Amino acid sequence: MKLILLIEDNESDEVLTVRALEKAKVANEIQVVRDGEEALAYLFGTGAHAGRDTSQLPTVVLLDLNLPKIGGLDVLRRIRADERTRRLPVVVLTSSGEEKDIVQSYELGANAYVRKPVDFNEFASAAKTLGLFWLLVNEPPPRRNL
Amino acid sequence: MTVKDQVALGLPLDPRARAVTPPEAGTPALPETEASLPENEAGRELSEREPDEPALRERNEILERLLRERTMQLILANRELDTFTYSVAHDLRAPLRGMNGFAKILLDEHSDSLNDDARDCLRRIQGNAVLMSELIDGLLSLAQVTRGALDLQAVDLSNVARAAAAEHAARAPERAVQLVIRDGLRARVDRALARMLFDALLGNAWKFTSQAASARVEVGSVEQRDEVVYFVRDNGVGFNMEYAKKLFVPFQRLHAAREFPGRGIGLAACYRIVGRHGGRIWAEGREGEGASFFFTLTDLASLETPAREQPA
Repeated sequence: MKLILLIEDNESDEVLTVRALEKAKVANEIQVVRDGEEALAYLFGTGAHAGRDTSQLPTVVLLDLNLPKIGGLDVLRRIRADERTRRLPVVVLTSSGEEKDIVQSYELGANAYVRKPVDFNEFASAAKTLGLFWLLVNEPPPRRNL
Repeated sequence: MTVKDQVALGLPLDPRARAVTPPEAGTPALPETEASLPENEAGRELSEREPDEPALRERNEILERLLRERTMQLILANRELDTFTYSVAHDLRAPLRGMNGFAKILLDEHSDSLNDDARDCLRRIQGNAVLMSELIDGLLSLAQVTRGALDLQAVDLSNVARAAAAEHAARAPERAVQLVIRDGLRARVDRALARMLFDALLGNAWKFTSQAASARVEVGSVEQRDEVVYFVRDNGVGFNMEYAKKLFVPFQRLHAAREFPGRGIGLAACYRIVGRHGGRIWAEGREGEGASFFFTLTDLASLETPAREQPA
């Protein structure tokens, strides 16, 4: 089961990302959450996602930085601080090309940082490359060690 | 010029850098400071009488307090500017991606129900979204030049110019450009900004000689009135001196984008880089005969330390 967790609050970006990923036909399922709080609730099976089987972790998390409620960098910090998710592959996918954001993301343990291009051709090809790499090429951390 | 203006114009805010900003790029802070001194009385009396210690101390305290206030204002203004720049970077791009993306989806998936005219319109929407995102990138790179502290060190500018030129050459391997870089050009500068400066100037030289029969680009320096003037010269299409002042204004271009691509950011960035180093930049050119860009770089370090005693 290849699951992508997309954490994205901008609706247009969500539609475009999902489309691009579906076109690349790499994931069985794309779960979308729209703010940082919901992202953590999903990953840890709390709040709106209480009772979710948390042993089912996404293969990769695509994380926007500019999120309502809990910001992207804080989400990343919480993911890395929890034993269950600390090795989970997280790709920061954002509009920002600010050096500060890039540095902080890596400091906090992001596995990759991708700046969303404005040109949809480039965006679609970036999404396809991402999907192929993280879902098919990359060897994920073993489940029991996650 | 108020502090706000200065921030809006992206002029140096570091008080030391500000003190050596050339007159045309910034106004000295002193007149404004004096005008707003609340203790004018004390000031006047001072000039009339022999200076006595308590009065001097009082005046110093006033100046120090003013300095603290101004510094605080600058820090706040700078922080606000950072927030603004960040939101430009982030928030303005997302809607553009939406425009471009959905126009593309219409073109790709609903092409059958569109005629040529409709398809052309959609392509133009896409193109404009991309153009605007490039303009935003340009603004951001311009803002970047004025942010952060200067890391001044002794830099071999000849090497910096060679590295920048090598990159331009690699990008257009089919071009044969005769490159002459004078050895031993040195200055105390911020290395990263110096690289940006030569990148922009040499990039222009490369671009505007693209139609020259035998392109030639030269980097060198001349001494003029006790001052080192560096230059980057080319034998490209040149420009009309009437428009020379426009060259350094952001987004101003003297050539159609169709003829020579560009966004009008490079020289605006150069203006700021040179300004931050306490120098000046200007251009000379003639249509069809090439262009020369001259700049000076003040040794900021020498201004910070007290001048050595002159031999009698």
